Amino acid sequence: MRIVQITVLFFLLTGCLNEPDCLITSTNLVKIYFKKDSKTPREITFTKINASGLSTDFYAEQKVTAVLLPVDPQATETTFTFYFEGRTETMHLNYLKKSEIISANCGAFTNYTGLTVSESTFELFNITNTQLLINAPSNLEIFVE
Amino acid sequence: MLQVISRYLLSSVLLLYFIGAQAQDDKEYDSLRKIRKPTAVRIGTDLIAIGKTMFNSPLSGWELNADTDFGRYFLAMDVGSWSRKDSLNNGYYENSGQYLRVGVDINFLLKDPDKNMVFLGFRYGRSSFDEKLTYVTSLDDFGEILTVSSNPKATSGWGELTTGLRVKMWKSIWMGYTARLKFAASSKGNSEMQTYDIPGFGKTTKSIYWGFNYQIFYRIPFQKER
Repeated sequence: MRIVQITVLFFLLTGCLNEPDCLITSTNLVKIYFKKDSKTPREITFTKINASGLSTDFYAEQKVTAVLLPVDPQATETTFTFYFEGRTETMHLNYLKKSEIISANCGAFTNYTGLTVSESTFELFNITNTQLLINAPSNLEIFVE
Repeated sequence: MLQVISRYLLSSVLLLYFIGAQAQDDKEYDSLRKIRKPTAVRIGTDLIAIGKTMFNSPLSGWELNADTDFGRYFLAMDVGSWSRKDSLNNGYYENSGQYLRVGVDINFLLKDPDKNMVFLGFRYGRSSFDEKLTYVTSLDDFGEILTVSSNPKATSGWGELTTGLRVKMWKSIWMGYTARLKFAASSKGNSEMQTYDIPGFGKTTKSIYWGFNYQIFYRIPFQKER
């Protein structure tokens, strides 16, 4: 008979579960860090950075050690072209998109996962997180001499 | 939430009352606990599903229920159709599909001349369905992006704990309710969309989901009863 009482109590307690929170941490921005080695940041003054599908120049004439660049939300691949120190380097990223709904009030959003580098003129790089998240410390590390 | 809690609290108090009374006569009812040949089949429908469909709720559909007795154990089966049309704050979601649940209910009213029933049970549910999501997101560099995702020919499975009542109203008519605690839903579909609502289960944003049926049944005996 104890099993019946436990079951009834379980039914009652689970009735108290609430709607999910409207917390969307997904983003279409990829976070790239530039490094000399695994511990030392590399400061770079970019002439500009371009992303495929956009005519915008990102980080034009800016000195940075990290950049946030948008991947194309209508494609599953984006190429970034980096112009700096008289060099032109490219990096081709692939990713997966998945549509998700939190609730009717919070709405729908796109989750970007499975980040990979299919082509790159940078010799050394490291993917640190394959999911694009607002609070992810980084997605990619690129090692530049 | 208070309404939900009070509804299930009342039902559970009634259930415990019946079970407590039954426990005192355990020895007397030992013979009634055995599995026996089925005597009848009850076929019914969910009145809440019909009401939702009639009053243009976001959820519409129908459900047929059947059970047959093997002594105090009832083999139960539910089949249904379900479609949801939900407005989101940045888009629109719709799905449509069919589902089947199969399981066993255990009756705790062992010696009732009217064959009334207070039960606990379990079900395994399967569903096949299509779903489609259309939404707009606003991104700094790309502006407003319209996304259309679909999940055709998706399938899902889940488990349920059930409890409820069946009460004889008149001749061969029984009425009652079934409360369902649905859990462990898993889905298979394409990778471009995460399933939001499973026909027969509910929204996947909750790991545990409550369901409630208010049902009317017609009992068909296999042999003429005295």
